[in-house]
Amino acid sequence: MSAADSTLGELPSKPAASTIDPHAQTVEQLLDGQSAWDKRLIHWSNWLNPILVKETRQALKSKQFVWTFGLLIVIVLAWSLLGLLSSIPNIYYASDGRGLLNGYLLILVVPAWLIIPQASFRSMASELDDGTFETLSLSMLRPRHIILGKLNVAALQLIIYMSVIAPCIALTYLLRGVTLETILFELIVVVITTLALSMIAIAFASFSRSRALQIVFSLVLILLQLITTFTLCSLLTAVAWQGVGFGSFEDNRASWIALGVSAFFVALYMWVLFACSAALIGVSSANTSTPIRIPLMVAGWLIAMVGVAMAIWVDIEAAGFFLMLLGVHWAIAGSFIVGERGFISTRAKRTLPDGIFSRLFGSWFIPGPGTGYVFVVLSCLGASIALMISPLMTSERLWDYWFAMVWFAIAINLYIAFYLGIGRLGAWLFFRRMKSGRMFTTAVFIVVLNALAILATCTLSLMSSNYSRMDYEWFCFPNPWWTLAEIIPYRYRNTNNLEELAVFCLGVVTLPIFLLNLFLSAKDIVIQRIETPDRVMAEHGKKNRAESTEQSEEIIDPLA
Amino acid sequence: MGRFQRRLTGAPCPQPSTLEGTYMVDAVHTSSAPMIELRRLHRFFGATKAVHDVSFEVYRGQVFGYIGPNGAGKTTSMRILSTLELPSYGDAFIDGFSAVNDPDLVRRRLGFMPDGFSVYPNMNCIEYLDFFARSYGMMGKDRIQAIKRTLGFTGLDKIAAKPITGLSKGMRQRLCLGRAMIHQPTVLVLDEPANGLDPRARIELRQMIQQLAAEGTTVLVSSHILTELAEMCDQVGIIERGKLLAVGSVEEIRRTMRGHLRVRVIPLNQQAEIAVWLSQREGVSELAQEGNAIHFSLQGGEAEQSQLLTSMIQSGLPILEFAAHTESLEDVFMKITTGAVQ
Repeated sequence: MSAADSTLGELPSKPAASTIDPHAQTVEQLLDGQSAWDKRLIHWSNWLNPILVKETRQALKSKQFVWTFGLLIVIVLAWSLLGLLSSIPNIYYASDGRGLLNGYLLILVVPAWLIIPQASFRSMASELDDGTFETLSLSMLRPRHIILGKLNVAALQLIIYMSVIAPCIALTYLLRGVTLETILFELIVVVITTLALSMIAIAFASFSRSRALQIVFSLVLILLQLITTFTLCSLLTAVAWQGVGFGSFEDNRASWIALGVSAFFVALYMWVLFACSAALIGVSSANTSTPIRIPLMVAGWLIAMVGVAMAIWVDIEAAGFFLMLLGVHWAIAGSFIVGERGFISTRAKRTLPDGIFSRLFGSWFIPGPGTGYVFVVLSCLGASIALMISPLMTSERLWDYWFAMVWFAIAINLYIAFYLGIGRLGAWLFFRRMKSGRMFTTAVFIVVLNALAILATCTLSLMSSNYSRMDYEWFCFPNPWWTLAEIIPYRYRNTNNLEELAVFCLGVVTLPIFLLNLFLSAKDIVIQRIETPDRVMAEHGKKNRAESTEQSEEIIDPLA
Repeated sequence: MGRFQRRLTGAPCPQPSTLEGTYMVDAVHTSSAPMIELRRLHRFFGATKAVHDVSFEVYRGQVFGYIGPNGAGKTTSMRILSTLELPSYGDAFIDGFSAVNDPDLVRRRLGFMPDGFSVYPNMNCIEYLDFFARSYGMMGKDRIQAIKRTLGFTGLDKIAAKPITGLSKGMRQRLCLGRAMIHQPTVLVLDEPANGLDPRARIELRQMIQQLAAEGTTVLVSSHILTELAEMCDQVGIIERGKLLAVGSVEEIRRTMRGHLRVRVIPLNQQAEIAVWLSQREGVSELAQEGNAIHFSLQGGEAEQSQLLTSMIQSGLPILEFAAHTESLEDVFMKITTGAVQ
């Protein structure tokens, strides 16, 4: 042990306070716990995220939690009494569980969907506001631990609130009229929505690095919460009264598939938001781009895979819907990616791919707008091809539908390549020197570009028809070439098929833009990997060895 | 020639060509290597040069005082060193690891106490320390021992269960120091730790820092209370308008900046003769008589002072008192800095 290591080991002799210390026992008790249960809980808490432990301690002492918990108990009791009394004497033979269940769920969503996400937002925002985040970031907690800790706290609060409702929900089952399947469905909706809203809240708080942004995001969050609450309360009510296979759904299977797919996408985008939030609060010199591109790519491919599965087993029309969803996914993600800064720090250079294969497949993950553009275009194209061939994978071999899908897929990919290409060139020309807010500005630039194109399209369309008709499909609006194709007089056209002509025009214009962007992206790709210095490698190796030793001794590092 | 050899031999270090230079970590790390090193550190906020080409080194067990007026760039340099900010140019190293490229490794070795102390509501001292001990990956008995040790060292054991929001400024400073040292860092960076403390708390804080340094911890401390720094620092760096004006021990800086000593001699008698004798000596100037005392400037340092005294005694001059005026750190600071702000 070095001198420094023993710094504090011999310190008890230092401050004079501890010669006769009547409080020494208190410190012991506070640290080790007073009862066997305390000791056990403290021991188990070693396995937990430190943020979860801290915030649980804080929450148990906070007035907000005590009031919410107390009020929830009172309201649930009141609703139970009211419901039971109003059911007497029918309670002995009628199926009265549905109304009560609906009431309990509507009571639960208030803390779950309104209070918990707000608490998550405040928790993260106050860390950044009060400066406690800086001291926290100096510890060994990584950004992902911090975000995960905050999300864990939201989940724990939900569990506590649900524990109040749980006996009452059991009562509704005993009162008949409600199936276990319905209860499970409803609770899954509540849990998923709460976690999604909390993740959005944490992400919003991470994005808002200034007071003004914080106010804006806070308002957006409130709006989102209210919309979600009102929308999904209708769903909860419908399911509570009509059972899982309610309304327009044919049977329970369709409802469960819809819930499964929704849950899947919520989880997927929670992952994306998680990566974005962690990148925002992380060390500035780290490679934050690649950890975001990976979930985005996975999300894109999973959209395609779910689309293919739905097209094959549920409804062939799903292929078109999921192709559109894929386009929206990459359009939004790409608008930000093409606005990335081209600068790669030494730290990030250490993580660059090396070797032929990793350079071949991993180069598009290198941070930078050029690689980002190609990454988005290729990812969208690959997933589109998978979706495009789904009509041929059905037992009927739907060639007509396949043909339509091909045109649709080409059009969507050309839209993406064109708008993002222009956006990337615009960012390169106009926002190159911007040090902050470049990504957001580029995204706004692309949106404005798109809006202008839509405006031009609509105007031209109306002009060509003497302001009398507007018969476009909505997805044709952002494509000015469609309009051009439509307004070209019939005798000048080589083909009668407007779609083909429009897509061909779009392709002709997009190709040089894509090639120019590809050429510009060479600057990002030629950057070489820098080897990690031996001493740094040795330090990391030392840490890994220490962790493996700890694990072999059955001590799990909560940070690992 | 290796980097450390270059430094030891006085050969110039290569200039970093980019912000992300990796020149340090591959070097063989020896006990003579600096625990803290700022190398050509720059930080610009628009046109303001908050830190402008600052370089210095601090070795194991040393206490380095970072002095400068408000807005001089002390906090910015400390934040860069603590990985909280990126430099515009240059780099900062802790135990040879770059704060820019290896912040994780730097954070393991570093305890940072910022000038502002933010607290979590609804927590007591013990929970606060427990949280940070957990955040540093401490588990089980190790964590409990670390908390006990820290509470004992900072004298917070009597108020361990007290809510943080109810603590006095001094107690909060102690808690903040405790938080910074809970993981036994080898380097402590303390930004204005004595700010707002009463005299007793200041003395206790100084004792704590001295003890940590004695045990091998390297401490970088900034403060406006220069007398305190003078007492506990092995080295000081004086910074103004982002530029490091002087660095070294207080005595070294004093010597470098003045180049001469102000000496006072009180003879038993023969004042006039002694004055004449002195005026004929080489290096003596600005001779003035004030009552019994003779004041004069002596070119050189302690060696010249000793030589002159020896000559006076050998010449049989009746000397009652011979003293060189020692300038305080405050005097030095006032002479070096201009008080300009940017």
